[in-house]
Amino acid sequence: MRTVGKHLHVARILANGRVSFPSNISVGLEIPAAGDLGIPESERGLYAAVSAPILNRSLRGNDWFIRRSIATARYKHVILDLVLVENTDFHGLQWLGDLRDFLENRETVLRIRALPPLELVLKFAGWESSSFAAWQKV
Amino acid sequence: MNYEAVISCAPVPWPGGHSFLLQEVGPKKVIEHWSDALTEASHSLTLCMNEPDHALLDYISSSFPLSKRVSVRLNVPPEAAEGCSFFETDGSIKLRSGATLQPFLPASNPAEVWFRVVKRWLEELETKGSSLPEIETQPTPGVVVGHHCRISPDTQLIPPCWIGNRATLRSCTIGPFAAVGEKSIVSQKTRITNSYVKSGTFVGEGLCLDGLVVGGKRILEHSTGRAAQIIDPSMLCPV
Repeated sequence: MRTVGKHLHVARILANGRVSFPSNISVGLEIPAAGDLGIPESERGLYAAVSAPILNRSLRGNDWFIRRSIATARYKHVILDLVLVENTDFHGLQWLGDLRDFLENRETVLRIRALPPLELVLKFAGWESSSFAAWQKV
Repeated sequence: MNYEAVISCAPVPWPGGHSFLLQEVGPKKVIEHWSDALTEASHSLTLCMNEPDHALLDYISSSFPLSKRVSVRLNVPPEAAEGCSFFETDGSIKLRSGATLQPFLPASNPAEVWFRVVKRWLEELETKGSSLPEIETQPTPGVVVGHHCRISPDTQLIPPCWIGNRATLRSCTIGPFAAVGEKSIVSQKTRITNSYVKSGTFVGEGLCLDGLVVGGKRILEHSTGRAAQIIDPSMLCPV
């Protein structure tokens, strides 16, 4: 995947289900197939992975690529992979909430892939179960 | 009649780390609710421990009321007992005469059993009140509020729920099936349903507690036993 900011890596999921931006940078993640993600064939998605162990204020300002891509390429789906993230603080939650609001305003669906402890923390902070898709189980 | 119970002190993942019998159920511990159920029917209880649980032994010997007829034995008798007492999966306390002894907890997740004990207790609050009805108030049926609480006028209390002594609630929604322990603080815009806030816990702003037990810096989903740590003290921390 392509690194677009500190701890943030992205890949494009094309309409035919292929993934572009497969760079040499490995963050220890495997991108699920587009079919597993539930993205319709006619739509495109953006796959973003965070490699920081803690979601905190360091991610702020690093999500410009997601925002610009949504604004220009009109992705309908953003998959945020937080499998490498162990926990989050208030600033990390605020960043996630801001990103969700930004995407909702552009009718883009945000779904999160997280390990069970982080999922529990996000639900504690008010995230609904529908934000976590079935494929997120790892 | 004396009922015996086989106690094992398996480690528990929930906040506080104490054994099942020392978990809070309102102002009391589970062991007190258990002994109350037997004392009401003029029975006594003998806890047969597989291995010593020192915290439980200390609690019973030092702070457990003498009026409650509970004794402890540090082994499990090989012969059949006069009777056996144990918890069912639905949180009810069972008494079985002449039965062979069986573990006091079902094989399922202990946190789930514990929260069912809490739910049963909350359901009975309206009719029975808690242990100190003379210093508690029931603003509406099923809502029991302890003494010296500070509750803002726009706080919603939905029965059944229990607010412990000296708790502070600010513009939040509590209930149904929620308990806020003594000296806890719940901040504004937080919703607590089907959950338990343990004593002396600060809960931050705008959070959603549904199906959780929170205390110290940890949260636990009681239906699954999944636990997580909260690293930000503005969200959750001990008072």
